[in-house]
Amino acid sequence: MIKRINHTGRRRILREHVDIAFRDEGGKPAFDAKLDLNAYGLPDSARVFVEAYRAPASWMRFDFGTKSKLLGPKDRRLHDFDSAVGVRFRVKVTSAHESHKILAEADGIPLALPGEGEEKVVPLLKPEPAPLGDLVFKVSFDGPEPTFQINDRIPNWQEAALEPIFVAITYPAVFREILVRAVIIENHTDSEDRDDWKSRWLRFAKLISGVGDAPGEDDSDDDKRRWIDDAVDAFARKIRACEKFEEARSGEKGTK
Amino acid sequence: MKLHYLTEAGLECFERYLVALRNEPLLSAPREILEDLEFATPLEGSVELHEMAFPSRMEAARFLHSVLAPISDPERNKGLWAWLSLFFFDAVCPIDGNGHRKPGELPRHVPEVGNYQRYYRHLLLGPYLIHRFFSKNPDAALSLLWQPVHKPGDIVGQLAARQELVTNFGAIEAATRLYYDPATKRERRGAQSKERGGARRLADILNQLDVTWDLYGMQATEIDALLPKEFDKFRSKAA
Repeated sequence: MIKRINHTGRRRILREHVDIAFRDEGGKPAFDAKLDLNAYGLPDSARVFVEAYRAPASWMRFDFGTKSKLLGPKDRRLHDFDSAVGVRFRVKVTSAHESHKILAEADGIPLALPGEGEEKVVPLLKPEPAPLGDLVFKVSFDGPEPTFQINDRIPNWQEAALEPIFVAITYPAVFREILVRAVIIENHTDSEDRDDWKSRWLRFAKLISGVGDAPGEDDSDDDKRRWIDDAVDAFARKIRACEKFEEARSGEKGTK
Repeated sequence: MKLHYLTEAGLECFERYLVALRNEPLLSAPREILEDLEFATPLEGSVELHEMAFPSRMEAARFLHSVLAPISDPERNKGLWAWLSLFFFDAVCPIDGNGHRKPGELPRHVPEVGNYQRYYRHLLLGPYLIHRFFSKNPDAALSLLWQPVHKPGDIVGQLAARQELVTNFGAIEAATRLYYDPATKRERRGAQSKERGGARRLADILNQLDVTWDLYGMQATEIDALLPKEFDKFRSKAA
Protein backbone atom coordinates (compact mmCIF):
# COMPACT_ATOMS: atom_id res chain seq x y z
CA MET A 1 0.00 0.00 0.00
CA ILE A 2 1.37 3.42 -0.86
CA LYS A 3 1.74 5.94 1.94
CA ARG A 4 -0.93 8.64 2.05
CA ILE A 5 0.67 12.05 1.69
CA ASN A 6 -1.21 15.26 2.40
CA HIS A 7 0.16 18.15 0.32
CA THR A 8 -3.28 19.59 -0.13
CA GLY A 9 -3.41 22.31 2.48
CA ARG A 10 -6.43 20.62 3.97
CA ARG A 11 -7.09 21.89 7.50
CA ARG A 12 -7.46 19.54 10.42
CA ILE A 13 -10.42 20.36 12.61
CA LEU A 14 -9.49 20.11 16.28
CA ARG A 15 -11.41 17.83 18.56
CA GLU A 16 -12.26 20.67 20.88
CA HIS A 17 -14.37 22.09 18.06
CA VAL A 18 -16.42 18.95 17.53
CA ASP A 19 -18.92 17.46 19.98
CA ILE A 20 -20.84 14.39 18.92
CA ALA A 21 -23.24 13.20 21.61
CA PHE A 22 -25.28 10.03 21.81
CA ARG A 23 -29.05 10.20 21.95
CA ASP A 24 -31.53 7.33 22.16
CA GLU A 25 -34.42 7.80 19.77
CA GLY A 26 -37.10 5.16 20.03
CA GLY A 27 -34.58 2.47 20.86
CA LYS A 28 -32.32 3.40 17.94
CA PRO A 29 -28.98 5.13 18.48
CA ALA A 30 -28.96 8.72 17.24
CA PHE A 31 -26.60 11.64 17.66
CA ASP A 32 -26.41 15.39 18.08
CA ALA A 33 -23.45 17.30 16.70
CA LYS A 34 -22.07 20.66 17.77
CA LEU A 35 -19.49 22.00 15.35
CA ASP A 36 -17.45 25.17 15.71
CA LEU A 37 -15.75 25.83 12.38
CA ASN A 38 -14.96 29.53 12.81
CA ALA A 39 -11.26 29.15 13.51
CA TYR A 40 -10.24 27.70 10.15
CA GLY A 41 -10.77 30.49 7.62
CA LEU A 42 -13.27 28.42 5.70
CA PRO A 43 -15.60 30.10 3.20
CA ASP A 44 -19.19 30.52 4.36
CA SER A 45 -20.38 28.52 1.38
CA ALA A 46 -18.27 25.43 2.25
CA ARG A 47 -20.37 22.30 2.60
CA VAL A 48 -20.31 20.27 5.81
CA PHE A 49 -20.90 16.54 6.17
CA VAL A 50 -20.83 14.24 9.17
CA GLU A 51 -20.14 10.56 8.57
CA ALA A 52 -20.65 7.71 11.03
CA TYR A 53 -18.73 4.49 10.50
CA ARG A 54 -17.74 1.26 12.14
CA ALA A 55 -15.58 -1.58 10.84
CA PRO A 56 -15.94 -3.77 8.93
CA ALA A 57 -18.72 -2.44 6.73
CA SER A 58 -21.06 0.13 8.26
CA TRP A 59 -21.16 3.73 7.14
CA MET A 60 -23.73 6.55 7.03
CA ARG A 61 -23.48 10.14 5.86
CA PHE A 62 -25.41 13.21 7.04
CA ASP A 63 -25.55 16.55 5.22
CA PHE A 64 -25.07 19.42 7.70
CA GLY A 65 -25.57 22.27 5.23
CA THR A 66 -22.94 24.97 4.89
CA LYS A 67 -20.40 26.53 7.21
CA SER A 68 -22.50 29.70 7.60
CA LYS A 69 -25.75 27.79 7.98
CA LEU A 70 -24.97 24.63 9.90
CA LEU A 71 -28.12 22.58 10.01
CA GLY A 72 -28.16 18.81 10.31
CA PRO A 73 -30.97 16.63 8.99
CA LYS A 74 -33.90 16.07 11.34
CA ASP A 75 -33.40 12.31 11.26
CA ARG A 76 -30.02 11.63 12.78
CA ARG A 77 -30.72 8.05 13.76
CA LEU A 78 -27.96 5.56 13.01
CA HIS A 79 -30.21 3.16 11.15
CA ASP A 80 -27.35 1.03 9.86
CA PHE A 81 -25.94 0.36 13.34
CA ASP A 82 -27.50 -2.07 15.81
CA SER A 83 -25.89 -0.17 18.68
CA ALA A 84 -23.66 2.85 19.26
CA VAL A 85 -20.74 0.72 20.46
CA GLY A 86 -17.55 1.44 18.54
CA VAL A 87 -19.13 4.00 16.20
CA ARG A 88 -16.73 6.77 15.13
CA PHE A 89 -17.43 10.00 13.30
CA ARG A 90 -15.72 11.99 10.61
CA VAL A 91 -16.51 15.64 9.87
CA LYS A 92 -15.73 16.80 6.34
CA VAL A 93 -15.85 20.31 4.97
CA THR A 94 -15.75 20.50 1.19
CA SER A 95 -15.50 23.31 -1.31
CA ALA A 96 -18.70 24.62 -2.86
CA HIS A 97 -16.77 25.82 -5.91
CA GLU A 98 -14.36 22.97 -6.54
CA SER A 99 -16.79 20.14 -6.14
CA HIS A 100 -15.87 17.45 -3.59
CA LYS A 101 -12.49 18.97 -2.71
CA ILE A 102 -11.85 18.54 1.02
CA LEU A 103 -11.01 21.81 2.79
CA ALA A 104 -10.99 20.55 6.37
CA GLU A 105 -11.54 17.30 8.20
CA ALA A 106 -11.77 15.73 11.65
CA ASP A 107 -11.67 11.94 11.95
CA GLY A 108 -11.98 9.27 14.62
CA ILE A 109 -14.38 11.27 16.78
CA PRO A 110 -15.96 8.97 19.37
CA LEU A 111 -19.59 9.25 20.33
CA ALA A 112 -19.87 10.89 23.75
CA LEU A 113 -22.20 8.86 25.92
CA PRO A 114 -24.58 10.54 28.39
CA GLY A 115 -22.59 12.16 31.20
CA GLU A 116 -19.44 12.44 29.11
CA GLY A 117 -20.57 15.41 27.08
CA GLU A 118 -19.65 18.06 29.62
CA GLU A 119 -16.08 16.92 29.91
CA LYS A 120 -13.56 18.04 27.38
CA VAL A 121 -11.13 15.33 28.46
CA VAL A 122 -10.97 12.59 25.85
CA PRO A 123 -9.77 9.29 27.33
CA LEU A 124 -6.70 7.93 25.62
CA LEU A 125 -8.17 4.47 25.42
CA LYS A 126 -11.59 3.19 26.29
CA PRO A 127 -12.38 -0.53 26.43
CA GLU A 128 -14.86 -1.68 23.80
CA PRO A 129 -16.52 -5.06 23.37
CA ALA A 130 -15.61 -7.00 20.23
CA PRO A 131 -16.03 -10.53 18.95
CA LEU A 132 -12.50 -11.81 19.52
CA GLY A 133 -12.90 -15.56 19.29
CA ASP A 134 -10.70 -17.01 22.00
CA LEU A 135 -8.69 -13.87 22.69
CA VAL A 136 -9.45 -12.07 25.95
CA PHE A 137 -8.32 -8.67 24.68
CA LYS A 138 -6.71 -7.07 21.70
CA VAL A 139 -5.33 -3.69 20.68
CA SER A 140 -6.77 -2.94 17.27
CA PHE A 141 -5.14 -0.48 14.89
CA ASP A 142 -7.74 -0.92 12.18
CA GLY A 143 -9.45 2.39 12.84
CA PRO A 144 -8.09 5.93 12.80
CA GLU A 145 -6.77 5.43 16.33
CA PRO A 146 -6.09 2.40 18.56
CA THR A 147 -8.96 0.70 20.32
CA PHE A 148 -8.74 -1.58 23.34
CA GLN A 149 -11.05 -4.47 22.58
CA ILE A 150 -12.37 -6.88 25.19
CA ASN A 151 -13.96 -10.15 24.18
CA ASP A 152 -17.71 -9.56 24.16
CA ARG A 153 -18.30 -13.14 25.31
CA ILE A 154 -16.95 -12.19 28.74
CA PRO A 155 -19.93 -11.50 31.03
CA ASN A 156 -19.82 -7.94 32.42
CA TRP A 157 -16.81 -7.16 30.27
CA GLN A 158 -16.81 -3.53 31.54
CA GLU A 159 -16.28 -4.74 35.11
CA ALA A 160 -13.75 -7.34 34.00
CA ALA A 161 -11.70 -4.59 32.33
CA LEU A 162 -11.37 -2.81 35.68
CA GLU A 163 -10.48 -5.83 37.81
CA PRO A 164 -7.05 -5.29 39.41
CA ILE A 165 -5.56 -8.54 38.11
CA PHE A 166 -6.69 -7.70 34.58
CA VAL A 167 -5.36 -4.15 34.84
CA ALA A 168 -2.03 -5.35 36.27
CA ILE A 169 -1.40 -7.78 33.43
CA THR A 170 -2.94 -6.15 30.40
CA TYR A 171 -2.47 -2.39 30.76
CA PRO A 172 1.35 -2.34 30.61
CA ALA A 173 1.22 -4.76 27.65
CA VAL A 174 -1.31 -2.56 25.87
CA PHE A 175 0.79 0.54 26.61
CA ARG A 176 3.86 -1.16 25.15
CA GLU A 177 2.02 -2.28 22.01
CA ILE A 178 0.75 1.23 21.36
CA LEU A 179 4.15 2.85 21.88
CA VAL A 180 5.83 0.30 19.60
CA ARG A 181 3.28 1.12 16.92
CA ALA A 182 3.69 4.88 17.32
CA VAL A 183 7.44 5.16 17.85
CA ILE A 184 8.91 2.26 15.87
CA ILE A 185 6.41 1.24 13.22
CA GLU A 186 5.07 4.74 12.47
CA ASN A 187 8.36 6.48 13.40
CA HIS A 188 6.40 9.26 15.07
CA THR A 189 8.28 11.77 17.22
CA ASP A 190 6.01 14.81 17.61
CA SER A 191 4.22 14.98 20.95
CA GLU A 192 2.53 18.36 20.48
CA ASP A 193 -0.23 17.61 18.00
CA ARG A 194 -3.31 17.24 20.20
CA ASP A 195 -5.34 15.71 17.38
CA ASP A 196 -2.96 12.92 16.55
CA TRP A 197 -3.32 9.79 18.69
CA LYS A 198 0.40 9.05 18.45
CA SER A 199 1.29 12.50 19.81
CA ARG A 200 -1.18 12.12 22.64
CA TRP A 201 0.36 8.80 23.67
CA LEU A 202 3.90 10.19 23.43
CA ARG A 203 2.91 13.14 25.59
CA PHE A 204 1.32 10.80 28.11
CA ALA A 205 4.50 8.71 28.22
CA LYS A 206 6.62 11.84 28.73
CA LEU A 207 4.45 12.97 31.63
CA ILE A 208 5.10 9.78 33.55
CA SER A 209 7.76 10.46 36.09
CA GLY A 210 11.26 9.44 35.06
CA VAL A 211 10.71 9.21 31.31
CA GLY A 212 12.57 11.68 29.14
CA ASP A 213 11.69 13.12 25.75
CA ALA A 214 10.58 10.74 23.06
CA PRO A 215 13.35 9.53 20.75
CA GLY A 216 13.93 11.34 17.48
CA GLU A 217 13.27 10.07 13.96
CA ASP A 218 16.92 9.26 13.43
CA ASP A 219 17.45 7.35 16.65
CA SER A 220 18.04 3.65 16.25
CA ASP A 221 15.31 1.10 16.89
CA ASP A 222 17.36 -0.10 19.88
CA ASP A 223 17.26 3.41 21.39
CA LYS A 224 13.54 3.59 20.75
CA ARG A 225 12.98 0.20 22.36
CA ARG A 226 14.97 1.29 25.42
CA TRP A 227 12.81 4.41 25.73
CA ILE A 228 9.67 2.29 25.42
CA ASP A 229 10.99 -0.13 28.06
CA ASP A 230 11.56 2.80 30.42
CA ALA A 231 8.14 4.23 29.72
CA VAL A 232 6.40 0.91 30.33
CA ASP A 233 8.37 0.36 33.55
CA ALA A 234 7.34 3.82 34.76
CA PHE A 235 3.74 3.18 33.79
CA ALA A 236 3.68 -0.15 35.65
CA ARG A 237 5.11 1.66 38.71
CA LYS A 238 2.49 4.37 38.41
CA ILE A 239 -0.43 1.95 38.38
CA ARG A 240 1.30 -0.31 40.96
CA ALA A 241 0.84 -3.27 38.65
CA CYS A 242 2.79 -5.87 40.60
CA GLU A 243 1.24 -4.81 43.90
CA LYS A 244 -2.25 -5.03 42.40
CA PHE A 245 -1.46 -8.47 41.04
CA GLU A 246 -0.16 -9.73 44.40
CA GLU A 247 -3.16 -8.28 46.25
CA ALA A 248 -5.57 -9.86 43.81
CA ARG A 249 -3.85 -13.23 44.16
CA SER A 250 -3.74 -13.09 47.95
CA GLY A 251 -7.41 -12.09 47.93
CA GLU A 252 -8.24 -15.10 45.81
CA LYS A 253 -6.27 -17.38 48.11
CA GLY A 254 -8.07 -15.91 51.10
CA THR A 255 -11.43 -16.85 49.67
CA LYS A 256 -10.42 -20.45 48.94
CA MET B 1 -31.70 -29.09 8.50
CA LYS B 2 -32.20 -26.10 10.82
CA LEU B 3 -29.55 -23.43 10.98
CA HIS B 4 -27.07 -23.97 13.83
CA TYR B 5 -23.86 -22.45 15.09
CA LEU B 6 -20.80 -24.50 16.02
CA THR B 7 -19.89 -24.63 19.70
CA GLU B 8 -16.28 -24.38 20.88
CA ALA B 9 -16.03 -28.16 20.53
CA GLY B 10 -17.56 -27.95 17.06
CA LEU B 11 -15.14 -25.22 15.99
CA GLU B 12 -12.22 -27.25 17.28
CA CYS B 13 -13.40 -30.33 15.40
CA PHE B 14 -13.93 -28.41 12.15
CA GLU B 15 -10.58 -26.64 12.41
CA ARG B 16 -8.83 -29.94 13.08
CA TYR B 17 -10.44 -31.37 9.96
CA LEU B 18 -9.38 -28.39 7.84
CA VAL B 19 -5.78 -28.72 8.99
CA ALA B 20 -5.75 -32.47 8.35
CA LEU B 21 -7.32 -31.97 4.91
CA ARG B 22 -4.22 -30.15 3.71
CA ASN B 23 -2.22 -33.38 3.98
CA GLU B 24 -5.03 -35.84 3.36
CA PRO B 25 -7.10 -34.25 0.60
CA LEU B 26 -9.49 -37.22 0.36
CA LEU B 27 -10.79 -36.85 3.93
CA SER B 28 -14.56 -36.55 4.23
CA ALA B 29 -16.02 -33.50 5.93
CA PRO B 30 -17.34 -34.13 9.47
CA ARG B 31 -20.93 -33.39 8.54
CA GLU B 32 -22.14 -35.57 11.40
CA ILE B 33 -21.38 -32.73 13.83
CA LEU B 34 -23.81 -30.34 12.10
CA GLU B 35 -26.74 -31.48 14.26
CA ASP B 36 -24.87 -33.06 17.15
CA LEU B 37 -25.69 -30.97 20.20
CA GLU B 38 -22.20 -31.48 21.59
CA PHE B 39 -20.80 -29.66 18.57
CA ALA B 40 -23.61 -27.41 17.35
CA THR B 41 -26.50 -25.40 18.79
CA PRO B 42 -29.67 -24.70 16.81
CA LEU B 43 -30.55 -21.06 16.20
CA GLU B 44 -34.05 -20.28 17.36
CA GLY B 45 -36.54 -19.20 14.74
CA SER B 46 -34.29 -20.10 11.85
CA VAL B 47 -35.52 -21.61 8.62
CA GLU B 48 -34.88 -25.05 7.19
CA LEU B 49 -31.77 -25.24 4.99
CA HIS B 50 -31.10 -27.58 2.09
CA GLU B 51 -27.81 -28.26 0.40
CA MET B 52 -27.46 -26.29 -2.78
CA ALA B 53 -24.90 -25.05 -5.27
CA PHE B 54 -24.23 -21.34 -5.77
CA PRO B 55 -23.23 -20.23 -9.26
CA SER B 56 -21.47 -17.17 -7.83
CA ARG B 57 -20.71 -15.17 -4.70
CA MET B 58 -23.68 -12.99 -5.61
CA GLU B 59 -26.09 -15.95 -5.48
CA ALA B 60 -24.62 -17.16 -2.21
CA ALA B 61 -24.89 -13.66 -0.73
CA ARG B 62 -28.51 -13.23 -1.87
CA PHE B 63 -29.43 -16.56 -0.32
CA LEU B 64 -27.66 -15.80 2.96
CA HIS B 65 -29.19 -12.34 3.09
CA SER B 66 -32.68 -13.83 3.05
CA VAL B 67 -31.92 -16.73 5.40
CA LEU B 68 -30.16 -14.58 8.01
CA ALA B 69 -32.60 -11.67 7.94
CA PRO B 70 -34.26 -12.59 11.28
CA ILE B 71 -30.91 -12.99 13.08
CA SER B 72 -29.36 -10.08 14.97
CA ASP B 73 -25.69 -9.25 14.31
CA PRO B 74 -24.98 -12.47 12.38
CA GLU B 75 -21.59 -11.15 11.24
CA ARG B 76 -20.27 -11.38 14.80
CA ASN B 77 -21.15 -15.06 15.25
CA LYS B 78 -18.05 -17.04 14.36
CA GLY B 79 -19.72 -20.39 15.06
CA LEU B 80 -22.58 -19.60 12.69
CA TRP B 81 -20.27 -18.88 9.75
CA ALA B 82 -18.16 -21.94 10.46
CA TRP B 83 -21.34 -24.04 10.57
CA LEU B 84 -22.49 -22.56 7.24
CA SER B 85 -19.10 -23.36 5.73
CA LEU B 86 -19.35 -26.95 6.85
CA PHE B 87 -22.96 -27.22 5.66
CA PHE B 88 -22.08 -25.81 2.22
CA PHE B 89 -18.66 -27.43 2.13
CA ASP B 90 -19.04 -28.63 -1.46
CA ALA B 91 -19.54 -25.01 -2.50
CA VAL B 92 -16.68 -23.49 -0.50
CA CYS B 93 -14.23 -26.35 -0.93
CA PRO B 94 -15.28 -28.36 -4.00
CA ILE B 95 -13.76 -31.69 -4.97
CA ASP B 96 -11.41 -31.38 -7.95
CA GLY B 97 -10.89 -33.81 -10.84
CA ASN B 98 -8.66 -36.00 -8.68
CA GLY B 99 -11.20 -36.27 -5.91
CA HIS B 100 -9.16 -33.88 -3.77
CA ARG B 101 -10.27 -30.89 -1.73
CA LYS B 102 -7.96 -27.90 -1.23
CA PRO B 103 -9.22 -25.89 1.75
CA GLY B 104 -6.67 -23.04 1.66
CA GLU B 105 -6.23 -20.84 4.72
CA LEU B 106 -8.38 -21.33 7.81
CA PRO B 107 -10.08 -17.88 7.67
CA ARG B 108 -11.73 -18.94 4.38
CA HIS B 109 -13.90 -21.32 6.43
CA VAL B 110 -13.69 -20.12 10.04
CA PRO B 111 -13.87 -16.33 10.08
CA GLU B 112 -11.58 -14.09 12.09
CA VAL B 113 -14.46 -11.96 13.25
CA GLY B 114 -12.23 -9.75 15.40
CA ASN B 115 -9.92 -8.91 12.54
CA TYR B 116 -11.44 -6.23 10.37
CA GLN B 117 -9.01 -6.78 7.52
CA ARG B 118 -9.52 -10.54 7.36
CA TYR B 119 -13.28 -10.70 7.80
CA TYR B 120 -13.67 -10.79 4.05
CA ARG B 121 -11.54 -13.85 3.55
CA HIS B 122 -14.41 -16.00 4.76
CA LEU B 123 -15.99 -17.38 1.61
CA LEU B 124 -19.57 -16.83 2.78
CA LEU B 125 -19.33 -13.96 5.28
CA GLY B 126 -17.36 -11.81 2.81
CA PRO B 127 -19.97 -11.80 0.03
CA TYR B 128 -22.77 -11.57 2.58
CA LEU B 129 -21.36 -8.33 4.06
CA ILE B 130 -20.74 -6.79 0.65
CA HIS B 131 -24.23 -7.69 -0.55
CA ARG B 132 -25.77 -6.31 2.64
CA PHE B 133 -23.97 -3.00 2.28
CA PHE B 134 -24.94 -2.72 -1.38
CA SER B 135 -28.42 -4.18 -0.87
CA LYS B 136 -30.10 -1.27 -2.72
CA ASN B 137 -28.05 -2.00 -5.84
CA PRO B 138 -25.99 -5.19 -5.50
CA ASP B 139 -25.08 -5.12 -9.21
CA ALA B 140 -22.86 -2.11 -8.48
CA ALA B 141 -20.63 -4.49 -6.52
CA LEU B 142 -20.42 -7.18 -9.19
CA SER B 143 -16.65 -6.72 -9.41
CA LEU B 144 -16.60 -8.26 -5.92
CA LEU B 145 -19.48 -10.70 -6.30
CA TRP B 146 -19.37 -12.29 -9.78
CA GLN B 147 -16.71 -14.84 -8.80
CA PRO B 148 -17.23 -18.49 -7.88
CA VAL B 149 -17.73 -18.87 -4.14
CA HIS B 150 -14.48 -20.77 -3.65
CA LYS B 151 -12.33 -18.44 -5.81
CA PRO B 152 -12.80 -14.80 -4.81
CA GLY B 153 -9.60 -13.65 -6.51
CA ASP B 154 -7.30 -10.67 -6.16
CA ILE B 155 -9.81 -7.87 -6.77
CA VAL B 156 -11.71 -8.94 -3.67
CA GLY B 157 -8.45 -9.14 -1.74
CA GLN B 158 -7.46 -5.62 -2.77
CA LEU B 159 -10.75 -3.78 -2.42
CA ALA B 160 -12.77 -5.67 0.18
CA ALA B 161 -10.05 -5.70 2.81
CA ARG B 162 -10.00 -1.89 2.98
CA GLN B 163 -12.96 -0.54 4.89
CA GLU B 164 -12.82 2.91 3.32
CA LEU B 165 -13.17 1.31 -0.11
CA VAL B 166 -15.65 -1.47 0.51
CA THR B 167 -18.04 1.00 2.17
CA ASN B 168 -17.77 3.51 -0.67
CA PHE B 169 -20.60 3.06 -3.17
CA GLY B 170 -19.01 5.22 -5.84
CA ALA B 171 -15.57 3.61 -5.59
CA ILE B 172 -16.88 0.06 -5.80
CA GLU B 173 -19.24 0.92 -8.65
CA ALA B 174 -16.31 2.54 -10.47
CA ALA B 175 -14.31 -0.68 -9.97
CA THR B 176 -17.22 -2.71 -11.32
CA ARG B 177 -17.43 -0.52 -14.44
CA LEU B 178 -13.71 -0.90 -15.02
CA TYR B 179 -13.21 -4.56 -14.30
CA TYR B 180 -16.51 -6.39 -14.73
CA ASP B 181 -17.64 -7.33 -18.21
CA PRO B 182 -21.45 -7.72 -18.33
CA ALA B 183 -21.21 -9.52 -21.67
CA THR B 184 -19.10 -12.38 -20.35
CA LYS B 185 -20.32 -12.01 -16.75
CA ARG B 186 -16.77 -12.14 -15.48
CA GLU B 187 -13.89 -9.75 -15.00
CA ARG B 188 -11.92 -8.27 -17.86
CA ARG B 189 -8.51 -9.63 -18.71
CA GLY B 190 -5.75 -7.91 -16.72
CA ALA B 191 -8.04 -6.72 -13.94
CA GLN B 192 -6.16 -8.76 -11.38
CA SER B 193 -2.84 -7.53 -12.65
CA LYS B 194 -0.49 -5.91 -10.18
CA GLU B 195 0.66 -3.67 -13.00
CA ARG B 196 -0.78 -0.45 -14.36
CA GLY B 197 -4.52 -0.15 -14.29
CA GLY B 198 -5.04 -3.29 -12.18
CA ALA B 199 -7.07 -3.58 -9.00
CA ARG B 200 -4.07 -3.19 -6.72
CA ARG B 201 -3.17 0.11 -8.39
CA LEU B 202 -6.78 1.23 -8.13
CA ALA B 203 -6.81 0.57 -4.40
CA ASP B 204 -3.55 2.47 -3.90
CA ILE B 205 -4.60 5.42 -6.04
CA LEU B 206 -8.00 5.72 -4.35
CA ASN B 207 -6.23 5.64 -1.02
CA GLN B 208 -4.16 8.66 -2.08
CA LEU B 209 -7.06 10.52 -3.74
CA ASP B 210 -9.02 10.13 -0.51
CA VAL B 211 -6.67 12.65 1.11
CA THR B 212 -7.79 15.42 -1.27
CA TRP B 213 -11.23 14.45 -2.48
CA ASP B 214 -14.43 13.57 -0.69
CA LEU B 215 -14.71 10.21 -2.44
CA TYR B 216 -17.68 9.18 -0.30
CA GLY B 217 -19.69 12.02 -1.78
CA MET B 218 -18.84 11.20 -5.38
CA GLN B 219 -20.61 9.19 -8.04
CA ALA B 220 -18.75 6.38 -9.82
CA THR B 221 -18.35 8.54 -12.93
CA GLU B 222 -16.81 11.36 -10.91
CA ILE B 223 -14.33 9.00 -9.29
CA ASP B 224 -13.50 7.48 -12.64
CA ALA B 225 -12.73 10.95 -14.00
CA LEU B 226 -10.04 11.36 -11.33
CA LEU B 227 -8.21 8.18 -12.31
CA PRO B 228 -5.05 8.50 -14.42
CA LYS B 229 -4.59 7.33 -17.99
CA GLU B 230 -3.27 3.94 -16.98
CA PHE B 231 -6.91 2.91 -16.51
CA ASP B 232 -7.83 3.81 -20.11
CA LYS B 233 -7.44 0.23 -21.28
CA PHE B 234 -10.32 -0.76 -19.02
CA ARG B 235 -12.30 2.44 -19.60
CA SER B 236 -12.35 1.88 -23.35
CA LYS B 237 -13.71 -1.62 -22.85
CA ALA B 238 -16.34 -0.35 -20.44
CA ALA B 239 -17.55 2.36 -22.84
